Amino acid sequence: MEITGRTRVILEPAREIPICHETDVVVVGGGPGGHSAAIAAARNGAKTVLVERYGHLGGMATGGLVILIPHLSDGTNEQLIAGLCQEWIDRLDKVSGVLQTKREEWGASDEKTVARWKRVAFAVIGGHVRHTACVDPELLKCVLNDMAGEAGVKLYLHSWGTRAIVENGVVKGVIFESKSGRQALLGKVVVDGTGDGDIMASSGAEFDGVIDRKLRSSQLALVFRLGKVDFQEYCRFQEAQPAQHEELMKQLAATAGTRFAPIASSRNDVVWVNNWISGLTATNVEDLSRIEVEVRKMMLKGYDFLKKNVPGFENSFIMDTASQVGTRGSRRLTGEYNITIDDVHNAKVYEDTIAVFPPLGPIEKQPRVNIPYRALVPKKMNGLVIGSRCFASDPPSNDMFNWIPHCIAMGEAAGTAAAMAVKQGIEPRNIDYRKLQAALKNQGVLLPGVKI
Amino acid sequence: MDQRQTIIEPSRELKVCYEADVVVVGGGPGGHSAAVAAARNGARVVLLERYGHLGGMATGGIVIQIPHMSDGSKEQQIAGLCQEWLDRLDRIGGTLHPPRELLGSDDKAACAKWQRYVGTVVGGRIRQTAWVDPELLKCVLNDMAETAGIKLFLHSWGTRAIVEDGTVKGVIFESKSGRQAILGKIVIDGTGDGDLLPTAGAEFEADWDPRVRSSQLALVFRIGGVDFQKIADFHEANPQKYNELMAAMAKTAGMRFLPLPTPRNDIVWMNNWIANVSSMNVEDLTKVEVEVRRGMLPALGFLKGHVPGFHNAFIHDTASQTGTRGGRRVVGEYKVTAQDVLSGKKYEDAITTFAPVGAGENRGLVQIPYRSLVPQKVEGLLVAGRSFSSDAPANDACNLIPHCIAFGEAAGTAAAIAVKQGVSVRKINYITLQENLLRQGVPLPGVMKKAVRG
Repeated sequence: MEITGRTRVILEPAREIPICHETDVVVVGGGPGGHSAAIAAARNGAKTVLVERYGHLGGMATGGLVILIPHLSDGTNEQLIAGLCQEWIDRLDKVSGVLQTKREEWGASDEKTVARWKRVAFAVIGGHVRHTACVDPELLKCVLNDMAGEAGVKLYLHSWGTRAIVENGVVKGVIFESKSGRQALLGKVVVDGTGDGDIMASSGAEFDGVIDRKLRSSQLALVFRLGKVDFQEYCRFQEAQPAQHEELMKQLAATAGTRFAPIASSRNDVVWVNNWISGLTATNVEDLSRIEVEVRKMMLKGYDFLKKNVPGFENSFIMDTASQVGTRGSRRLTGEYNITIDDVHNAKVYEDTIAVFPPLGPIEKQPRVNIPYRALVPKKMNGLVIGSRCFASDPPSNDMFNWIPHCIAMGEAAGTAAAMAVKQGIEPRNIDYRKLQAALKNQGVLLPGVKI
Repeated sequence: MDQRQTIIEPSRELKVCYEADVVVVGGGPGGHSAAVAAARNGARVVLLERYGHLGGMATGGIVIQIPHMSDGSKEQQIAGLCQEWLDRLDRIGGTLHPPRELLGSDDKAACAKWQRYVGTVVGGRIRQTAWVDPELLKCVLNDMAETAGIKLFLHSWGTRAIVEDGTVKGVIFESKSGRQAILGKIVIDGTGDGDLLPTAGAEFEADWDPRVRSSQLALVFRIGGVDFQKIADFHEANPQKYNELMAAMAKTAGMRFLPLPTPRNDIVWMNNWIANVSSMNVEDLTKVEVEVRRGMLPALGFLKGHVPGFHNAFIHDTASQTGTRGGRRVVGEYKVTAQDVLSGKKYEDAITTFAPVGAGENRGLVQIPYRSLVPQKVEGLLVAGRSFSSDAPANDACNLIPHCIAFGEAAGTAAAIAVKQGVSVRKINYITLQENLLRQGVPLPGVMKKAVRG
């Protein structure tokens, strides 16, 4: 290896990389998007490999301790996001791993139901109850492993897929690092489920990395959970003495050095504490190092304050911290179609709609939002589909629809499309939208307004 | 199907994102201690860690016991940075261990109390063994790194040594910033598995008998909502029944799980041992994650239904790092053998002294020589942690968390001396190293013949 003078670069020589596996569909990243892509691809007949950096599946929903799956309905009694997302919830329900609004409560606006659910973040929007689920991250890891095992997905865990293998403008596979060393996986279609678009970026596909610092998506977090709390007691205090609660939360932020929000979990004795650290970037290692150090310091101060001052936290303790940094957005694909905030405001519909999302705000004020398949397909690169939050979109539209349920929906579409492309021996950009929509509907994806 | 067995990854330029005196790869007990010791001894230090936290097995692995810091006498053999972990944890309520005045005690009441904490009472006498809170330990280790002035690269997987003319010059690592290089005068492999050894050109051994503890993997998890004292009461009153229940749980789960205490009475950690797998094989690491998670829920269900103290139990968390116990062992300037360990062999370059791990043994203290941290073949490289030069049984007896902290502290101190003196790590003066270690609070009983202790 050659160290080239003062240029501060070294030359890493060319070398042979063993191909450890060949398959139809390679999915990189086992979070909500990537996992769903892998499950959908495998269930649609593709031989599928899923490469995940950590030892568990679920990404932000498990390792990130973002243990809330909100906005599955729009405040009416109609569910909008179902498919694999609903399957997560149904399977969790069987192992007592979820707290969720009941089907008959969706759309309710009566005082009693609203009073109960407004204690759960995003469960009541504009005075109406939405389909929202609080999940247990450990049980979810088990559920997601089971789904992968049953679908016949070949898993590579503790495997960091970092680089696309590109030949003549076609992504042919990925290179990944693991304890077995640097190896290559080849596939007919690669799905980028990394969230940050790591594979997309390394492939040479066009993307937009502009970050709008005003947006939620630009902020990082290190979520932690507190145990032995009494969440209902905390809520009663918050409701009975809102001004005092607000004052305490201000003092909490001042003491800790950042805002901390305790949020309901599936258990009354556990809360997760969300946070928003700005000025950092999810694709910068210095920032990722810094947040781990800074938030852990803030956590000790914040926890101490809560325990001493806030009802419901008297006996609390730090239960765990997220093994994954809480990331909310970074690179976005330049796709066959790029969604804009105007599209969102105008309720644009597409002939290739693959997901329909409730607005984040009240349905009276904002329309439902369609996502076209073309937003998952790179404008230029072949053999690659996006299965997560880096779908083609401008920053404000991405910011609204890059949450866990959205990523599951986009992943399910990407995986289904990848399997169709493999089966037909065509490029992902050339599949028949109508067939994709029909397959998604068969899988329980709702697609209201889409006629087959 | 593609008929190729390999692909060619083309040559390319990598950005050198940092240069330092000492580059430590791996932030576990060995690597963290190496980095802290090197920095406190004046070296500019970079520490690369694959995960977002420091502490390795002691935090991310949820192996939250630091045992055998003393041998059952009043003396404590392992101190130094290991003791600093405990002192710092003590201040924030993050550890449970016998008070120092009980070390060596055979008092019946004291032993009865501490008997419940496996490894604390050995041969009827109390040893220094600490049970730690992994989350608070992560905070403590960050603080130690920060106050020592270490440059941290977290979420950074150091995978490859940069070698020029038989000397290690730095490492290549993966992160969200892409593949980059860090250069240093000395590189310390604190990966535990000796991940840098193959690309550094160092010789190593990786033979493990699948019956040996160190060859076995785990995925540790914690169970909350328990009453540990109630579990221990039941265990002591009905040992046979308890063992039958544990056997029945193993049958239900398809694997053996051992509940162990934590600093909190309402939490236990569940150790396990998966055999015929390797910590250096991605397929095996994947298999452990899937199989242990599959066994975990039936085990929990069984415990809740059958074992006193577990009635309200739930899965608290699972380890973010696979529990690994042994990996590659460097071929060093001196290879520690099982015979050396059993006979209590002494060395002029001893850098740490241990209590023998096994119960009821009367053999002497175990010493480890500095030369076992120095690769025989390559320059500019030290190992910190369990990949010290040793045969498999010797390694198996001396690769627990406190041992790795001790190796790491010695490696980091040695690296700083080598940098300061501008000499090879294999040429540093042992006496200087030992003097520095003594000053840092490493006891080294029986080591110094010369009058350096004052």
